[in-house]
Amino acid sequence: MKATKAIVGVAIGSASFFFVYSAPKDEPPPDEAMNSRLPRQGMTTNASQPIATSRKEEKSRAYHPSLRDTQVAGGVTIRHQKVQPDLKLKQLFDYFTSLRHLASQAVIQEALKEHLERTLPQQFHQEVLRIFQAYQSLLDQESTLLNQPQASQDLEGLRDLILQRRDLRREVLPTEVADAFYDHEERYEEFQWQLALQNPESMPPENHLSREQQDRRQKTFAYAKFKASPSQPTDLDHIAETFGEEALQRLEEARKQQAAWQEKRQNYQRIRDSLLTDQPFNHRLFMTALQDETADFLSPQEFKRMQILDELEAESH
Amino acid sequence: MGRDSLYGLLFVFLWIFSGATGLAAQGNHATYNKTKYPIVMVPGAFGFDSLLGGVDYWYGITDELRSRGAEVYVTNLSSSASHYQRGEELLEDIRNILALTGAKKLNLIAHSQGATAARYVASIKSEWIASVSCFNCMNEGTAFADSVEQQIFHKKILRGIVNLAMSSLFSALEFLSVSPKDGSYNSPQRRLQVAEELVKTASSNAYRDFNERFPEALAKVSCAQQNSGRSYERVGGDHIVNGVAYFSLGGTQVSTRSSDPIDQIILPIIKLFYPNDHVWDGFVPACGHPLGQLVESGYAINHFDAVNHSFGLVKSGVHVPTIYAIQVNRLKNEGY
Repeated sequence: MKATKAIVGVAIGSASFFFVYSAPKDEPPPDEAMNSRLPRQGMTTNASQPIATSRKEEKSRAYHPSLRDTQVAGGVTIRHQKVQPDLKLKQLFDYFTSLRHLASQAVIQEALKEHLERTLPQQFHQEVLRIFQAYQSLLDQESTLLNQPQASQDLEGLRDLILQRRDLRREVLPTEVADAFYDHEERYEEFQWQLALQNPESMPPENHLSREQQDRRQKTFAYAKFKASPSQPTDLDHIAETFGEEALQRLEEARKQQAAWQEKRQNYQRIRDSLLTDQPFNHRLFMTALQDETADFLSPQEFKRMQILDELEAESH
Repeated sequence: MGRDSLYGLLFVFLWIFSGATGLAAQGNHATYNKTKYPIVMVPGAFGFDSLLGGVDYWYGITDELRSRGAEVYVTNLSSSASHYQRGEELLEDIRNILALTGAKKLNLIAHSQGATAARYVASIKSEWIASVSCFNCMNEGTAFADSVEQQIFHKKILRGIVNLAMSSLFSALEFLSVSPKDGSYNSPQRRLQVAEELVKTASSNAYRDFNERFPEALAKVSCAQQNSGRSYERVGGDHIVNGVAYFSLGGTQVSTRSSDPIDQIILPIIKLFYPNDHVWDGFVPACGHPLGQLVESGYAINHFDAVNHSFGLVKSGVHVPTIYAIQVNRLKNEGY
C-alpha cells in the first residue's frame, strides 16, 4: 500500500509540475522587465517613429529597439529532469546574442536570466546559464579564429577554416550540445560547399539536405518547376497537388489579368501614338492630353507604370 | 480494480508526464515565423538565386525561416538591369505567387538593390503588398558606382574591355543559376546582362530619378543632407504608406572578418573606388539603408554579411538568420 501511495504521490507531483511549468504553447508575452534593462552600447540608433503613448507602444518602449514587438524565440526542453540541448535552446540563445555588439555580454546574460526566471523552474537555471556561458565563450573563440589574417586566400584555405570552426565547436561545447546546435547547420554547410564546387553528385547521401530540409523547400520547388514550363500538364498536376486544385483556377485568373493589362497597354499605345502625330509637339500638353484620354481605363498608378514601360521600350530599341 | 491494473495505469500516467515525453518549457519553434502572408525574398543586383552556380544567395536564411513556420519564396531578378526593369520582373513574379498561394498579400524581404524592385511593386501594386523589410538596402545608390562610371565607363577603351569582361561574367552566372536550388526561378522578362547597366543603375543619378518617382517611406533625411554620406544620422521614414508597412535593418561593420574571402578579395577592390571618409557598409552608404521604420542600424555586419556570406563567416555571435527570424516574428506580431 505504501508503494501505491508513493507512486500516486509521484504521479500527482509530476502532473502538477508539468501543468504549472509548462509554458504557453505559443510564445510567451514580451518580457518588458527584461528588456527595460538593456541599455544601448556603442553606436546608438534612433527608430524613425516617435514614441507613441498607446499600450502597444508602451510595451515597445521598454524593449531594446532591435527586439521590440518581438517574442523571445526558442525555449528550454527538460527531459529526465535535465536541460535538453536542442535547436530550440540555440534559438533562445541566438535571440539574446543578436544583441552582441549592441549591448554588453553581462547585460545580455542578465536578460536571459530574467527571461528564465519568468519561464522556467529555478532548479534548471544554472544548467541553462552554464551552457549559455559556454556558447558565449565559443562565439568569442570563433571570433578569434576567424580573425586570423590571410586564413583563407583560396578555396582550400576557406575549407580549412570551416573545418576548424567545426572542431572548435566540439572543443568548447560538450559534444551533445555541439551536435544538437550545429548538426543541422553543418549538414547544410556541407551541401552548400559541394554545390560551390559544382560537385553535388559526389556527395555522400548523409551530406545532402535532410529530408526535413528538402520537404520545406518543396512548395517553392513546385513553383520553380511551374515557372520553367507553365503549360506542361504534369507540372499543372504537381501544382494542384502542392497548392490545391484552386491554385489552377487562380493561375487562370492571373493569366486573364495579365491579358487585360496587355489590352490596356495596347489601348494606351494607340492613344499615345495618335497624340504624338499632333503638331506642333509640346511635351506638357501631350502628357496632359494622354492622361485625360486614358483616365477612363487607367488608374494614376497604372498610368505611371505605362510611362515606365514606355521608357523601358525606348531603351531596348 | 486490481493492484496490477492500478500500477499499470500509474505507469502510463508517469510515462506520459515525466521522462518519456519530456517537459517542454516553451514551444514556439514551429510557429515563430508563421506569418499571415507568405514571404518573398527580393535579392540585390547580383541577385541570382545562388552564388557560384550553387550556393544559396540567402545563405541559411530561407531555411531558417521555413523551419520556424514561414512560407518563403525566393525570386530571381536580372543581375544588371534598371530599377524599373527589375521592378517589372518582380511584379509579374508576385502576380504568380499570389495566384499559386491564394494569399491576399505578401511580405517582401529585400537586400541591397532588391529594395528598389520591392519599392516599385509596393508603390504600383500596394494592394498586393503587406510589408517591405529592407536589410542593408541600397536606397540612394553607391559612390562605388559613381566612381567606376567616372573612372572607367567614361573612357572608351576601358569601357569596352570592362563591359565585355563583366557582362560575360554576369551572363555566365545567370546561366549557372538557372537551375533553382532554393526554389527560385527565372523571370521570363530577363534580358542579357550588361555590366554598364549595373553601374548606371547603382549610380546616384539613377537613384535620384527613381526616388523622385517612388518616394514612399524614404528616410526623412537624404544622403545629400548627411554630408553626401560622410555622416549617418540614422533617421527612418514613414512607417506605413498606402497600407504597406516599411522596415529597415542593417549594419556598417565594413570588414568583419579578415578570413572571409569577400573581405579579403572583393572589399579591397570596392575600396579602391570608394571615398574613405564615408560611413558605409562595404558597398553602399549607410545613409541609404533606412526605409520606413529603422528597426536597427548597428548590427556588426557588412553588406555581404547581411545575407550571411560567405558560409556564415560573419561577425562572430551575430547569427544572421536569427536577425531575419526576429524581424519576421515582428511581422507576424503586427498582423502581417
